[in-house]
Amino acid sequence: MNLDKLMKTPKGYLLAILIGLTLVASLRPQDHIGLLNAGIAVITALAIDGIVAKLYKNKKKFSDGGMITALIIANVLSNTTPWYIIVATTAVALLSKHIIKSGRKPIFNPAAFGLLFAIYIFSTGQSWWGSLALLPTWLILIMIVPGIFISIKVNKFPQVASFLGMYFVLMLIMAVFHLGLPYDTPADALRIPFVNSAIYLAFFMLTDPPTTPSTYPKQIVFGSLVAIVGSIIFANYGGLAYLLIGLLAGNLVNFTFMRARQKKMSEVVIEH
Amino acid sequence: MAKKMGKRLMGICGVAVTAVYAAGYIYTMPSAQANAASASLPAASTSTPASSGASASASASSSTPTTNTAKHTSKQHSTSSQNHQSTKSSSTSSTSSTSSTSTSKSSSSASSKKSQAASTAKYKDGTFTGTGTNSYGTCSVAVTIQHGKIVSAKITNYMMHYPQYYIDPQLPQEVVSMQTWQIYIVSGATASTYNFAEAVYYALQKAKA
Repeated sequence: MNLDKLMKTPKGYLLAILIGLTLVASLRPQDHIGLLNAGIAVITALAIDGIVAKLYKNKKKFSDGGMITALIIANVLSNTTPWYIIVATTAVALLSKHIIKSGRKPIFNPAAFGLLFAIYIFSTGQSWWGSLALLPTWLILIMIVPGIFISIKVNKFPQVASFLGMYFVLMLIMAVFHLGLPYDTPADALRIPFVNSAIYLAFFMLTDPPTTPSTYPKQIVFGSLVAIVGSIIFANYGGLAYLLIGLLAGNLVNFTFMRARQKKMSEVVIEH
Repeated sequence: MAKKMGKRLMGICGVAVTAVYAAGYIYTMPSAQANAASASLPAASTSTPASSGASASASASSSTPTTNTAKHTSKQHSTSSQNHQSTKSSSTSSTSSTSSTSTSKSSSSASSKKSQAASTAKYKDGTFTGTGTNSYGTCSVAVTIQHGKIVSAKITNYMMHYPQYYIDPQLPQEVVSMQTWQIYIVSGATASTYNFAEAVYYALQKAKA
């Protein structure tokens, strides 16, 4: 696929948006190095997907999906992360895409898988700097407007809305009933810079078509489930990994239901 | 493939999500404001003495990162997320003229002043204060100079989102052992490290002869 064609697809739009967000976020002097980190992640992704494509003799050598995963990883990892950790995280993310799959579809969101792996195995910090968390407040619109656009383009708006709606409702409930930790409170979660992470995840990670359901009712269940699991983790452990855990839990449930449906359908075919 | 959602329904969903967010934001405003108010208090009670004999090698650098997913045991900190409107750096001292510059300004100017601050600095004796603020909170320090050298750096007010133990005592120890505000960044506590470094930078600016 050439660049012109790519840029007319939802993947192309998402890639352009993520590149734009990375550039804007790196305007902050302390985050200049983020561009270098993003470059390292992208090169790693292209190299790994290129090798896999060669091994499987795929015609498609240029990995737009790999670039998207790499940019998300670079946007979430702390800018102080050493280059070899960025390489390793990107490698884990992409290998999860190629290894942990059902048919041709990956089971887990590759970026979320790599990032959670990095947090627990490499003990990396995550800053979600690509969500423009440390820039002036009004710049959040640079993330929200393209985010709404992409969620409509990939037909995942109900999923995004149900996730954000459920997440905000649960934070309100936590605040009303004084649930959760004395630190990492709902007041934190609903404010910049922390709310940026949830919005970034909702628009750019939750909308990944291969790892999420397609029909609207299932999208609503999926989005709500991610928010519920994430909020429970947040209430008990705080931190920032709760969003990733929620998403991966949603991916797993989606895969389980998909598998059960396929099994049922194959049984019906055999009976006939 | 699901058929496309209608624009009107999308609009209703968007309004509903915004309304729920607004309700939560407004409901949590008192606690957020209380935290913001406490963050703006002058240096007070949360100081932790730094041992001046510590070596830089004992302190954390980016090669020994911490993770922010751990369940924290410290309850000292709170959020100052009301400070997010603009990222500012300030000094608690009324004598500082550089105190109200923005983070971006201070960072760029700070980088150009690195050599000045680090190598050729001669400091007046006394205790000098400084504060760094960004979206993640506020950190104030008191830097004590004796015979032109930094003998102590104490965190006097810590209102960052993550617990103080992420950076304390390692960063105050680094300031003393390295005799500069240019300390190693603690991975996983990047924002806290920047705030601490800025606070020390402003304190040392005031201490300059």
